Amino acid sequence: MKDSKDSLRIKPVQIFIYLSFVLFSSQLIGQIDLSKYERDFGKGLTTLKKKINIAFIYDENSRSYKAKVKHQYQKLYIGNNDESGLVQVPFHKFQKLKLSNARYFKIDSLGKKVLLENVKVKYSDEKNFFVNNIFYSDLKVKQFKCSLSLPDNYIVTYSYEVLYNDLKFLNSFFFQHNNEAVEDVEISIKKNSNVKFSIYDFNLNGIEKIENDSYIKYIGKNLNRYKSSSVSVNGNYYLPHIIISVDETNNDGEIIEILKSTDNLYEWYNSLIKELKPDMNYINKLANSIIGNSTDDSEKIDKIFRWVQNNIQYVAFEDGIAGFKPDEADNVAKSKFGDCKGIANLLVNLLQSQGFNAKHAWLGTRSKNYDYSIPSLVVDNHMICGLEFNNKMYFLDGTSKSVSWLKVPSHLEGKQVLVAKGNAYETLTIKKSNPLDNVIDITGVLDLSKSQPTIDLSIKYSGHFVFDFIAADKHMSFNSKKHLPYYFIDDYLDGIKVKKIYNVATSENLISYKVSGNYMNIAKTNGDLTLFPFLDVLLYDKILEHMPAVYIDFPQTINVKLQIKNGGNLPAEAYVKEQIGNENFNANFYTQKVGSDYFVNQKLTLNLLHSSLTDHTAWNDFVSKVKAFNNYPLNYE
Amino acid sequence: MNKIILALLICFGVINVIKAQINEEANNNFEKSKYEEISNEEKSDATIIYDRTYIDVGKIRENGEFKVRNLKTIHRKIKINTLYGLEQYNKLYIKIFNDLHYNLDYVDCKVKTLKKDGKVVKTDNTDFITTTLPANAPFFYKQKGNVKMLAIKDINIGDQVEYIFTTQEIIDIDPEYYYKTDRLSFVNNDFCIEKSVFINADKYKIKLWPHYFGEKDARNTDYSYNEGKKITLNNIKPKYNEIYSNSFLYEPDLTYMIKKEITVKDDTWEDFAKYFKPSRKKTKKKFIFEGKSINDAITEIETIVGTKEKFKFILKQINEPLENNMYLYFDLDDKIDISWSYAQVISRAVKKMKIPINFHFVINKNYNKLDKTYVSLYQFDDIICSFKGEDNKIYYFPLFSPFSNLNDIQKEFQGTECFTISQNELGERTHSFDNIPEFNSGKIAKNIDVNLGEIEEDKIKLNIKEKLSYSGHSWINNKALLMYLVKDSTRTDENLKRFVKEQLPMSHKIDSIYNVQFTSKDASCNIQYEYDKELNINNASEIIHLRPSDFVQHTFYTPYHMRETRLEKGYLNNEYNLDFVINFHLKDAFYWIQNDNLRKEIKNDFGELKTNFSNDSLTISTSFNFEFKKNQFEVSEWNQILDLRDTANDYLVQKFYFKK
Repeated sequence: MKDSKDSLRIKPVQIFIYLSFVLFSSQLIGQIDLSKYERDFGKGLTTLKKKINIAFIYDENSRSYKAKVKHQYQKLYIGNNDESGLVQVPFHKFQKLKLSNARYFKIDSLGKKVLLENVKVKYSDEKNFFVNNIFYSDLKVKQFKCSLSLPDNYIVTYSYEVLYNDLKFLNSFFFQHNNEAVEDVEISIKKNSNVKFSIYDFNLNGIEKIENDSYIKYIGKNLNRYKSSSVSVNGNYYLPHIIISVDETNNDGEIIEILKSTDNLYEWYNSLIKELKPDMNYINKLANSIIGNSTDDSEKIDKIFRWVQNNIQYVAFEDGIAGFKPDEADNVAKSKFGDCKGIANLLVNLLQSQGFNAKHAWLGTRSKNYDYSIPSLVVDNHMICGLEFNNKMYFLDGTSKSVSWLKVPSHLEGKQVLVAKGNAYETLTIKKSNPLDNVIDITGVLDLSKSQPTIDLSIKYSGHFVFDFIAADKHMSFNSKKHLPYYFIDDYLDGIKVKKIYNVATSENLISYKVSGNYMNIAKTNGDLTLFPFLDVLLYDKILEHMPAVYIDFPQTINVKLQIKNGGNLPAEAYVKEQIGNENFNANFYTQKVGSDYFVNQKLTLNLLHSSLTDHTAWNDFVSKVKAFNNYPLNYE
Repeated sequence: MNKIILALLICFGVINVIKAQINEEANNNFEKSKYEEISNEEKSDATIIYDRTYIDVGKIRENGEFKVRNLKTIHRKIKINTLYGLEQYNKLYIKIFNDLHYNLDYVDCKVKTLKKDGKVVKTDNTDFITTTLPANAPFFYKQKGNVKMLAIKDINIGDQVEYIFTTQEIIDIDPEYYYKTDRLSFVNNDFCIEKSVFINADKYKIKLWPHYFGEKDARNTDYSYNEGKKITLNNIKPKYNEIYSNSFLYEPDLTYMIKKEITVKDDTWEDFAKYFKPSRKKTKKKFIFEGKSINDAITEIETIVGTKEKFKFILKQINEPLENNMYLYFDLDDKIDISWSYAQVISRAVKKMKIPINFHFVINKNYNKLDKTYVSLYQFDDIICSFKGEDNKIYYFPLFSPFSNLNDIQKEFQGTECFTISQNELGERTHSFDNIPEFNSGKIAKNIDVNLGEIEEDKIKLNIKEKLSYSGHSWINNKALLMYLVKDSTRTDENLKRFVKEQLPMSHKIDSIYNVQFTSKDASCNIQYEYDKELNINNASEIIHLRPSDFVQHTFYTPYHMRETRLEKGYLNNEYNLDFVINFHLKDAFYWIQNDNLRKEIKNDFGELKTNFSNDSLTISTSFNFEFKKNQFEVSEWNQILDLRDTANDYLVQKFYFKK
């Protein structure tokens, strides 16, 4: 008893120690060691704390389950140039977004957080949302900013709650975004016995998963910033994230399937298609006028596809149910514009009206690293027309202004397609093209007789290079078109001062022209000449630390053959012949003597759509060896 | 009962102002309009057949108060020539704006597509979406606020798009006091066959100042039109985007003013000079000299010996308040009004001391030039004073240049034509058109020491020490900013690091600038600093290369599309003489593969460029010296400019090869 009383008695010394501890720790909590963060994560955005809690709630009124997602963020900006500290939170019409609070802090010289503004979030702006200049009628953002000018280093904390009225729209959650370092992140999903869901995780290295009867929790610490470049793959290829797909709910004993499998996904897509009631008289009449007297089926398809390509403009108003329901075919035909769904749907209707087996087809472009093994709306972002013709499936993308109906745009290669077949569907994969189909051929003569060597080149393109050229040409302004040949080849001509471009010839399958100018990659003194004859034809770089894999536009081959004239004698070291790389990416650069002439040969083959997502060693080794040729000297005497 | 009905009727009458609608004349034209065959169009992505603006200003009564209603109707007809043109014009954006203090409301809109075969396709205007403005809208829509956006139906290349829309501003002001002045550009990105402005403002006076309207150019043009005025310009060439272009100096625009009574004091330059006369009443209480009234200041100035010293004192008195409140200098838009006030006070002060002085009203040649037909203070950017010193030399000083000394005249005012009011020792004023002389030639110099360091895997470490110097007008033009940056000693280091970072090539992502030191004299300044850089190299290669442009920011690259056809004359507005020296310190790890092509020399009417190198095995020194001679060129002289730019660019991007 006495012991117990003694143990409860608090001595003054203890009070002092306790108070000191409280004061000290509160000081610590409020302090930000900027130099530490800068050292550990670099300048830019570091999210100190990110917490996302997902819970399912039963709504008595609609007698259905909804998802409530709470977001809390504490973000530190170091060396920031945006004085307004604008924060944008996107949402769509199947969600209710409620901003709870937002505060901006500056960090004083002692590292203490000092409140700058407690934002009145109820007055935050609600704005329309543009993604890549595409207007989505039902996507919006709520945004707020600091009314004071923010210093270079500041903290913003904010939280908000999103209510998902339709569980189909609950999908991906990212632990970090591009150019964002994260010190501490937690995503938790509270289990509910009446809601079954599946989780698909991506790139969760170093993220701990804890699961018990009541929740699943993911915890990440010290996630370094990824630094992407203009040739990087999209964030979903490498950033840690999860996709939650709600399988089914038990609503008072009634089992409702939401997205248990891709069947459910297709069922919903198909239901939207079924709602379409096009004016088939108009469509038939239009299709007849397009095909005219043609009797050959291939010609009919070609005429219909080209009519859509040439007459329907891609006006990116993703107007409809969350960008999922196409506009009526006759509306698109009459208004002469549409988004991808509207254009695909018009193609399907025009082709069907002529008796062709055309179908609606959904897919994610190469910006998405998912396939239909995941039953989620996040998997796709595009619609095309599938055409079964002569026992083969063709994929027609009417948004492309350059490819023929027999070809598929490069950004769809290798992707899985969900093709409608009435109440059923099939998933097919679009083939990756052959690098020998997409070629740049550069041949020419490098004349060393003048103090500033001259070069004359003949350039030829095939495959996707041609489609890209034609597409760029069609969309370019009148005054810029004539310079397209230069800007299309310029990247491959480092060290060549182009003076003239001529004999430009374009056809559907081949583009060719000639280039002449001066060659600058030399060092010349007292009669000695060092020539650096290899062109820098590999436009991709090494993948450095914390950088994502590179996105290759399409499989391709670059061939260069230069004849070197009037260079004098070459020592034996000039003869190099080496095959670099592997079956996915390889190069063969060498010089060659034929009679009295020297030739420089370069062949670069990229037979892949992106470099390895995890192991960059082989790619970096390849890039290093290929780039070394840029400074490979030929020493003349 | 009757009273109630009467009250209701009054209320109804008060609230129910005449409903705003599309301008009737424009509407009739729109309704009658058909596909037009055009013979005089130029090759462009779209041809603007006409672009008409109707401004209708009138008085309305709302909630018992008289207000002003400004209706603006835009009527445009555009022929689509290319897909690019189609993508520019297939959406219609109408700017709207609503906040507590200002409302710009949408009234009505009609849109149609005209086909060559006579078919007309109307677009339903109920499909409008109100949204924020996307970034790729054609320039004449680019304004702040929200927009109503409509995708126009059924457009193909060769079609003509025609639309008409009206917006309404209700200005909560007694109509007696309403006035509006605005400047409308008459140039688009596409060729325009007709651009017209119609102003209807019953009970108001309207003044139009058309600039660069060619033959029709006339001050106070009174084209009678209904209750107002109209003005038209035909066959307007599109904007060109060329290097060193100053075509904007000659682009037509219209300034208009709508006011109850327009009593312009500056109808002639004589009037302008008379209006400048500072009255005692105007200047007596002005406290522009850091809290001192003019009388206090004069008492102090009178004690100073020598004219030059007196003006130095005046300049100091003007500059100090600005130097202490630099945000005024950076933020103020109406600098000319302040200069005007300064000038009036100085005029009065020196008159008392019987010292002659000239006031030169100057225009920044980078943006405009003197328009003698436009008599207005607001075409000027600053006022420069000049006086004769005891040494019989003429000294100049500007009225709005903090940290400036006598003869510190910014480059943009040098050699420009100006309007001058001369005041003799008796205070009598005459006026003339005059020129500001050119002086203060100087240069930007850089001395760069590049120390090649260790190679680690695929990187080489570089340590770079630089000395950046500004002298002459390059110093004068940067003086206000640099002196401001170093004024607060607690932030000097941070500010200078930012400044230095801005001067380094874009490719440099340098966080490690250190040892920054700044020194200044009257005629020059030096900034010394150091930074480290890692350069990616290929460990598979025996040879690495560096280029001067890795260390020097420059703008001598001429894009291919800007080379061959020069359409407009130009002005080398931002070019300074340059003097760069780069020393590559190689240690023992590398030797340089010498390249005689790095010795370049070119001289023509516009400048002289010399590049050179020396090699003492461990240090390679290379120099770049560019002196500009003339700064304005005709179209036919473009090739000389191109030769200079190409030679400079060739040197700056030339690879220096170093072998391990």
